[in-house]
Amino acid sequence: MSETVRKDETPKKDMKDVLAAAEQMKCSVQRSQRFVEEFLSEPMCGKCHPCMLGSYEALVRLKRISAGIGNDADVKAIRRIADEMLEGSRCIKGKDTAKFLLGELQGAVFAEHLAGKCTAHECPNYIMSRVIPEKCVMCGLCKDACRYNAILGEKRSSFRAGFLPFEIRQKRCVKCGDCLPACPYGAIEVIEEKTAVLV
Amino acid sequence: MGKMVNLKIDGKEVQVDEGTNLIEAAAAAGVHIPNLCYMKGMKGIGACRLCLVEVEGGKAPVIACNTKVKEGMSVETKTERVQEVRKFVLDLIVSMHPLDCMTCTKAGVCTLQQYAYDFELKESSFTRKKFGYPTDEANPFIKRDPEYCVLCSRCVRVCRAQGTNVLEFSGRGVGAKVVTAQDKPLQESGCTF
Repeated sequence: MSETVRKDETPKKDMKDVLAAAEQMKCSVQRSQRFVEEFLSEPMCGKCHPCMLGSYEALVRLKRISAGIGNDADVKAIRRIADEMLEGSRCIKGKDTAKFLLGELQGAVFAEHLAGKCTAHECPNYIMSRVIPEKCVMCGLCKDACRYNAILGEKRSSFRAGFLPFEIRQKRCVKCGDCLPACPYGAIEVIEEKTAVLV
Repeated sequence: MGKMVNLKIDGKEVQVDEGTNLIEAAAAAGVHIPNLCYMKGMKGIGACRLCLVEVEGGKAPVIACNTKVKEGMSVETKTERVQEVRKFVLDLIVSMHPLDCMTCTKAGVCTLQQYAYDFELKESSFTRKKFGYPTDEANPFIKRDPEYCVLCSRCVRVCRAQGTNVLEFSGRGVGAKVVTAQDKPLQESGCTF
């Protein structure tokens, strides 16, 4: 009997794990989103309405902001949710979530996102990767590293005169960032999508 | 008759039995404390948080459904602080509740409608949520539409308390739904109605 672990006895994620998961991110929007996602996935008990409905709504709004379609109303809604959750929820878990959200809201990061900028380069919808042609030596390592076939280009071979330059096809790129460490010459950079001038 | 307790609710003096909760005491004083999940005769679970009231000398608001009266206590039921939380919770519930009040059979006796009216909520300020649950109409007397559920869990608790034990929650949080065993229609479950 002792071998079989009953379902409700399995070790559960608690608030520490949630916080640890959120701490991995640098951008406030991503941190908040991660925190609420993790919170909803396990520790949220769903026993009182402000916390259960509030954190769900907060996640909806955070997703909007990280997708780049957020506006002032979303930030205001998140602030209101956090305020009321702190006041109204029943246990410490809801209050902790509210405190975390309020802490993240304090900086200027949310306002930056509304202006189309993610300084930490973590929100996939705010960034794009680009090959710097001047630095590229056409070794083809990034092409091998890309699992999504998003990098176009031809390895330079000495006997050929013409060549196809390396570039990233934005339509295929999922912004996983795997190509960045693959390039030993630092020829791939991350730029802000909304402020960049497309060639 | 047990011991009587004197207390003040919104400035009104009232005398009630010892062990009464604040919602009942307020009703005796003619004050209505909003609530969705409280059920007379059952233990308050404090899920909806609408019954939050402020007790003089207390640090944080307390839930009226689960707080017993105390001699000489003074309760404020409509402070700005608790009204704010009430409006917030109602706003969230309305965001996942179909606004079919014109054709809804509960119109007029619906507590949610009444509270929404009191707080002047025409439409939720939050994102509208839809779940697309099917309606259970197999029983000719009871139509059960989970779309309208506000997750107060009163039906689940009553069903459990009277020993039938047919209804239970499935899922957790916003996606929670009151179901019978294997989500069968009420007619085919162990429902004794």
